[in-house]
Amino acid sequence: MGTVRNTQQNVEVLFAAAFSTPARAWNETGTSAATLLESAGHERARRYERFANGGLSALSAGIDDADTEVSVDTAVGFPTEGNFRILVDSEIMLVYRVAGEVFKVVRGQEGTAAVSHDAAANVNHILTAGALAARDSDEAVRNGIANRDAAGQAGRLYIPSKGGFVSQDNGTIWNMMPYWRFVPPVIGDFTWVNQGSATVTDRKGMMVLEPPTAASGDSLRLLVKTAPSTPYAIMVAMIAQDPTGISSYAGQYGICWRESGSGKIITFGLGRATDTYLVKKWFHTQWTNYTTVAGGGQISSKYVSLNWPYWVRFSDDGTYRTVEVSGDGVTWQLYEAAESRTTFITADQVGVFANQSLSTITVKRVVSFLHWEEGRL
Amino acid sequence: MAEQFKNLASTQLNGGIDDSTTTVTVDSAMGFAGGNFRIRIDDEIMKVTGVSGLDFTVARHQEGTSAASHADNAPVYHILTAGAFDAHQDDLVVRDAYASKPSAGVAGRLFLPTDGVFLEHDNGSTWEKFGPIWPMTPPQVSDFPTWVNQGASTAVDNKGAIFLSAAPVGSANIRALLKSYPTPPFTIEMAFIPVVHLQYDGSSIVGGLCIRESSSGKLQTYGWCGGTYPRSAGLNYSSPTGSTSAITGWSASGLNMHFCTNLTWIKYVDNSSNRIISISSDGVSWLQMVSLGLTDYLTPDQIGFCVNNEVTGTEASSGITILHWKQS
Repeated sequence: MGTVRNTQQNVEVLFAAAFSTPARAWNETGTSAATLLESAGHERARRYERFANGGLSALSAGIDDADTEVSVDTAVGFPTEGNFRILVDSEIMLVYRVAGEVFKVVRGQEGTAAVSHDAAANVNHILTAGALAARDSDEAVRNGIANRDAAGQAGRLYIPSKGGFVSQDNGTIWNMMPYWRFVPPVIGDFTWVNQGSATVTDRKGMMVLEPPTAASGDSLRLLVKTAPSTPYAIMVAMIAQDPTGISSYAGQYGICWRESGSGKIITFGLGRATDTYLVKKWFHTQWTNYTTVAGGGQISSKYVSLNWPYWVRFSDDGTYRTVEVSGDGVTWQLYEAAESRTTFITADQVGVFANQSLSTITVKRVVSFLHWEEGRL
Repeated sequence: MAEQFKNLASTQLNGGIDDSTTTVTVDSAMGFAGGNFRIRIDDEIMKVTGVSGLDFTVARHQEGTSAASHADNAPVYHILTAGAFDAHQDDLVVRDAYASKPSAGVAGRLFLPTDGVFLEHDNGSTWEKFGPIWPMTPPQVSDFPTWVNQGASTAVDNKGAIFLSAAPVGSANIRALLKSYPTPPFTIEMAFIPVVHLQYDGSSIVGGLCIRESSSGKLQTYGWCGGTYPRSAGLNYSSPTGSTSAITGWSASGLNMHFCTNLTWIKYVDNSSNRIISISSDGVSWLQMVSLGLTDYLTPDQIGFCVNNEVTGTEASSGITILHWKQS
């Protein structure tokens, strides 16, 4: 391998920049005006929509159409903290803080007009369409992990907008559940190289690649697309049924770079090792074309745990190609030192592949791709 | 159609109605939703399923109220009801077959597939996928009343799944928990997680689905095999401790299919002509490992699952957790 360096850190930076979302109010969906206005002055965990029965009072003093503090005769029967809604005459207000008999409010909610109200006007705590919508958005918090709301409302789900795991609020902490966010590849985005009798099918949202079987010989079936402009990184996750491969040194399914002009291919694929342990390995292999391993052949191989989904992230920062692998889709480990982006090929295509499997085995290889996510600066 | 809510909407009947009219004409539809929503006229709750100008198409006498006639100019209120809440809750979580997933567009809604691998979240414009997650039909120990060669093994209901654990022994010992063989045709789908030792370097089954012929004591097992690498296997046993042979026709003697150590899937089909065994890594794509005649090696009258813990030395127990046993 030519000039090498460890570019893992660069890739992390690239990914962070490409995928991080700007800091937002915690309840991204259905964010209320009060949430945005008061995000610094109010604990984020207390921003749920709240309901209480019987909240009924009267203004202890008149207000104009711009006052944001409302004094009431009594706060008994109202929620003791925001958010909740009140109706004064025909105006709906959002109460986001309660301090004794003073409500801090956002005026003129849900299409009603902010107007002045006389002292002794009725103040009714009501259920509104907006309150229900806010409550619904409370049930599932969608945000980047850095902006996740603090736990405190039991039963709520956290839906990560980028990376990380679905979690459930048990009232005190977020219980993590090992479900990843997946962006499955779209079949129509890829074109075949050497399809033959291979098939690709959308099955329950997954892109499922099934190569044929043969008595002998390697024959990669590739689904490729134009490489993104550099710098880029692509995350892939897959689950496979993997019978013995025909050639033992080549990964049998995984990701690839291809140079369309020459037809040369670099694959990073999973396959069974041929040493004492016979368990799974990643293989880095160079191919003159989809049936012929190049003189350099197998560049390297490394063991991998027997747990799906298998995660791989491959990137090109404009100078170096890097491959990383992960057991959890969160923590990435450099597969080997980066290589120059012109080593063996200068790839203009990226994609996935599966090698045909041995026809003496009655079952064939099936690879389900759950995730294909491109990041770029 | 999703349940809708609007604030403070009210009007009056434009013309009296009897107790079976399903088109209600009102003075004004201003402020009302487009349906579905609930209205109250006198003491009757109606569900409005469509609005056309001043005409509401309604389902009468909802939520335990009685259909009655109502006079011209009776007040019509859009109200929040218990039924509306229930309907709204159903709108927020959709459970259906993957192929029947509704289009995205209701932000915050969840989709739980009855047959897929992704829990999906509607962000208002697209469905975001999370997973892998499968709908499971967990078995209970009480569904499987018959132990074969229990020895010191145990089976417990553990947080919705069965954990079958076998104490280590020095030679092959199939520990099986069985029930009566269903009347064909039937399909059983099983998903399990093995907790196994790869120490054992042989061709015994480690754990999986099994069938048995009670008159002869013969067993046939399909599942996980340890040894030099973890793989699928289909094996005959003359008895739980007896001679072992590979199932004739099992793909390449069962030695060529890696299994992973997380969820493992096996499907057993008896279609009254053949017994067909398939395996899967994702519960979606199935690979047929063998198709057997109804009497090949044995004629089963029992079916269940098993574990084997043949180890040397003082290794700990092995076991399998069965999360899914779905018969159809």
